[in-house]
Amino acid sequence: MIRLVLAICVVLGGSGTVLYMSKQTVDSRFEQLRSLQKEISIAKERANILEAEWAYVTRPDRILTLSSGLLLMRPITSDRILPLEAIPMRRAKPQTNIRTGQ
Amino acid sequence: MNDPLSYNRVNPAHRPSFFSSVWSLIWPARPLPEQSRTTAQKRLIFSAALAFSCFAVIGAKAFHLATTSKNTDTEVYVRLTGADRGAIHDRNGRVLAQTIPVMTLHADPNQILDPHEVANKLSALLPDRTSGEILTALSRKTRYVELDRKITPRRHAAILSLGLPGIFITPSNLRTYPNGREAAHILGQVNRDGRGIAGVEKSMEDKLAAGHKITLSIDLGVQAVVRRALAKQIKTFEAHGGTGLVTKIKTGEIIAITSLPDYDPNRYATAKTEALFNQATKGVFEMGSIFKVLNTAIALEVGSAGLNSTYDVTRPLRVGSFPIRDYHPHDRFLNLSEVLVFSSNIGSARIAEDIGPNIQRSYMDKLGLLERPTLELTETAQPLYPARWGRLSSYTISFGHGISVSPIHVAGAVSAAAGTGEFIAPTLLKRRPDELFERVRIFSDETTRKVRSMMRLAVSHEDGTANFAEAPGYLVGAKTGTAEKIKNKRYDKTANLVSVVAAFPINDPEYLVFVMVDEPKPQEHSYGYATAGWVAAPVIAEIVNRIAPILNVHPIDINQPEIRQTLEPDLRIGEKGAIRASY
Repeated sequence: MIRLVLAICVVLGGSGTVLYMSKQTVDSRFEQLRSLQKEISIAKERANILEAEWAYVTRPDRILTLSSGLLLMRPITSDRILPLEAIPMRRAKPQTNIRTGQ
Repeated sequence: MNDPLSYNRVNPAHRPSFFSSVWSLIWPARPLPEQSRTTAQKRLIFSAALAFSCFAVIGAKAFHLATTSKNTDTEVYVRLTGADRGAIHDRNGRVLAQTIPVMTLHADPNQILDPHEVANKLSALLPDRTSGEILTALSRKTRYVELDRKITPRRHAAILSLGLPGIFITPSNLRTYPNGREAAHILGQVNRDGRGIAGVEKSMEDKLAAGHKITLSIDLGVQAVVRRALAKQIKTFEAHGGTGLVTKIKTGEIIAITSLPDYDPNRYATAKTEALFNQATKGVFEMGSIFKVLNTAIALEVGSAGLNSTYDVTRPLRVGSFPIRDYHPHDRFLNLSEVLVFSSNIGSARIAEDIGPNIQRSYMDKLGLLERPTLELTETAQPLYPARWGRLSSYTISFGHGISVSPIHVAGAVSAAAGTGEFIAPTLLKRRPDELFERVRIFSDETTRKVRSMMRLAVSHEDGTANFAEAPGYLVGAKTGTAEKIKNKRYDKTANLVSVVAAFPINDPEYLVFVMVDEPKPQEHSYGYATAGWVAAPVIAEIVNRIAPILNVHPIDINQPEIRQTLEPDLRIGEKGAIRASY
């Protein structure tokens, strides 16, 4: 009888320990998750700021002013744009042997 | 009495004196041995039970602590003050509206010891506010005064180092519009609580508040081109304002939409009332001759007119006491194409006569011109049209008078008449390539092809009204409209609303461009004209020239036989004696 009780006690103790350990692991994982979530939200906020800043410095009005003042460029006219077919293809290589000249 | 343990034993026969009773309380008599054993046993059991229950409670608590987790439901690790409001992007993913965290500077005047000193110290760090302004704010009888909604990190540090009691800095969020005035009316605005109060911010509030990103159909680059070209012309012709619109004909997507004057959404509070009004979607106007495109398309579709039909425009058309005149009268009959290309009011009215008011009305209805547009904005307009759509109304409506619609209505209707023949409700949201949307077939391909040819002639023909809309290589087709504005219940000849609607490349239209300028003044360089052909048409040319490369529309060689064929160039136009029409 006492052996059975002891065996049950050992089993209970062992499973309790396992339960406790796994609970601790889960807790620490949760802690990690939470800190990651916080990091993500901070990173997102920073990304938002950077995106907004990028949009601000590349706003069309500013680019137009800067480019017209600093670059010697003009809007492209339609006669400067050609379809691909308008470009003459490279002529096929003549099938001659350099050594024999044939 | 020789028992050594009996010295304090109570003698039951002995009546205890008061002294012995008190003494027994301090030093109780030793019980009998057998009695003593049971007492000890009881005490032992009691102590063991006490110790066990103590350990049981501690054990139970330890077990409870070890096995149950913290209640995470009530934990808040994300700020719920609007930081997650979704961004608004243009069709190429460029940011149009974004929420960013900022620091807000505020004060509690009750806690401030010396308002003068605080005001002086703070005014040095707050360039937007003078010392006097801060002092007035700090003298208010309240517990909360906001001094600056967005302070930079550097100022934040400087203010903290001043160590002023009663001055606080709290994190908050700010909705920013990095492109300033571009598409301001469309984006709209949020209030102090971060809720949308205008534009897409309002109409898409649910999605944005839930953190979803909205991708608009707007192309920021095209938007900037349209706004700039229009603003330049408004300045040149000293006009009140104007509207510019570019839509993708085959999907109904709005690529650019601008209404001038506009405002900077980052400084919404300082915007003037007229600048806040979005004329492109909320304003209704009598569009004038642009409606002739629709009139002609309806006539061709119902078969009441053909390319060879001719109309007597030699004398004004009288309906009761109301005469319909042409700006430049013609002394001969005009055919259908000439009525459109030379923009004859009399001719249009005669075409409408053959269509009949009921059919005209039903087509206008199908083209969405009698209802509020189903746009993703709350700022839309209900068109104004006669309750009794009689003969006279049908005449005037044929040339765009007696019916007031918004520019967005025009874009939808003309896209159908000059584009695919299908009515597609304009949208502000980017469509997916595989997206299915409602298309209502209204005009046949045959009709739209004829209408397109006529619109092309209005640009390419020497007597066409929209010559200045020509953008070489991009095959622009257009129709002008100059309408007199109603002032004091009468048409004012000096106040015009000029507009041009164009499509390009007209052989297979991809984009529709609409430009409207409000009250342009005649200029010396325009030879005293302030009509659509002089004011709005050049804006079309400039816009098309600039946006075609952005939108990947390739220049076309007009002399290609296929192009000539699709446009039916042998419409009989401008026989000898034709008089140049001005609108």
